[in-house]
Amino acid sequence: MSNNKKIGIVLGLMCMALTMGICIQIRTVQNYSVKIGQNYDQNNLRAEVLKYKEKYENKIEKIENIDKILENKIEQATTENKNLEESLNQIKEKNKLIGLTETTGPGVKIKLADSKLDSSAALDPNLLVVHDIDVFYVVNELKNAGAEAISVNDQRIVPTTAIECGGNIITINGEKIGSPFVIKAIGLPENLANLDRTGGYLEAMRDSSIIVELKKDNNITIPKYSGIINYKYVKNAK
Amino acid sequence: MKIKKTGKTTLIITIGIACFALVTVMSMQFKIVNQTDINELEVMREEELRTELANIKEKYKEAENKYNEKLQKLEEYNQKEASEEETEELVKKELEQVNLILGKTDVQGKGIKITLVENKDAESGIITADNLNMIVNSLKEAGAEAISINGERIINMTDIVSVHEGTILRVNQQRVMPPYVIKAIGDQTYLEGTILGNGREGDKLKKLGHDVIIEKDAKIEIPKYNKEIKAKYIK
Repeated sequence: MSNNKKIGIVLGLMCMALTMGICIQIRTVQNYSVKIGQNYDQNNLRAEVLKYKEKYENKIEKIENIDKILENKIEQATTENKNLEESLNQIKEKNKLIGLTETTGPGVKIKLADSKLDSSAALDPNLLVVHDIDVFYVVNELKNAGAEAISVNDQRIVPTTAIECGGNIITINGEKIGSPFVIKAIGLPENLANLDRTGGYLEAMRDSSIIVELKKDNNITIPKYSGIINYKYVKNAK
Repeated sequence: MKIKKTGKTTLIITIGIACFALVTVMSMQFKIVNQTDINELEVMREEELRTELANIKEKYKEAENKYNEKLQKLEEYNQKEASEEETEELVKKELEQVNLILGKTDVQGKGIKITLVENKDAESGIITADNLNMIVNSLKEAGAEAISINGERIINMTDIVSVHEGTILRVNQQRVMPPYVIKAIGDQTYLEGTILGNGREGDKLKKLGHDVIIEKDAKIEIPKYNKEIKAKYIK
């Protein structure tokens, strides 16, 4: 009799846990679909954004095609012209420094992620998350250590790149990115790894329980800038 | 006795099935929560969507301009017979453009000149590398196409740091001294707004008691980066 009771209680508990699980599941799914179908206006907006994204990507592809055609023509028109070859090489080299072509080389990979500590238990929950300013400092320090190419979550740092704050995410090159942040840099690995020195910024972040990882790597690949640099105001001085 | 035993087995099987269902539901739950990415289009709110749309439209417009520019270049090149001279001209222009973006040419254009005069009162403190960094970042945010601080051109790999407890500021590893004169070329209204807007870096410095003077100029001149820029580690 008492054995049966025990089994009954266990079974009851099981059922309760199961029901709770199902309830949570149903609620999440409901919330999710309510959000998506909230109103037509939002759906239209979303469609519009997607449409423009596609158009944009098409245009970029076309631009790259024209570049290729021009490059071919130039190569055909110039045989054994040392001056021209030198100029073309310079353009290629400089585009790497600007960030218009994918580049590889030795360097470091730094990961910054929000703390896993319970924010309600912390004195200042602000210290537990990675801010735009933190990313900015790390990028600035990498430049100071002689980095030649840098990316944050695959967004290449180019001359026009700003790091903007946008609530709990940050915006780089107009793209929103969030924690964890993966910052890649090409340069002398020993110099770049010096960022993680005693008393340095990375250590200070780690002290406030933010997750900081720095790894040297002899083969870092940094993608090219996905946008376009088009100057309207600036002209070469005569 | 026999009946009791079969009853027990049924119970165990039932509990087993219940546990299985529970685990499945929970893993589904975790999966959905994991997939909910804050950056995803599906979960953006209306306001965010509107800004996203404005952004992508702007980007598309720029891409279109660039495309037309390139197309024109190609047509021009096609029309004139692809002589060696024409080709040289084209490559020369391309190289000039690349040097301009890199910061290896003296440039001019419409823009603003910001002068920061330090107020040495104890309360306001000194102007720091952070202040200069934030100003440069804001100017880039506002679309600045060329920037210099006390004649040091800001290029892609420029660092602004302080040494000696913040008393010495270095831009491109060169020491700069107050007053700091920051020049920027771009849309004058945007550039001014990004510095003096409420809560922006220039506004903050003003409230601390420093002088922030902005002059608009139709012909701002910014010098080139005067050291060699060469990649040693990029392959």
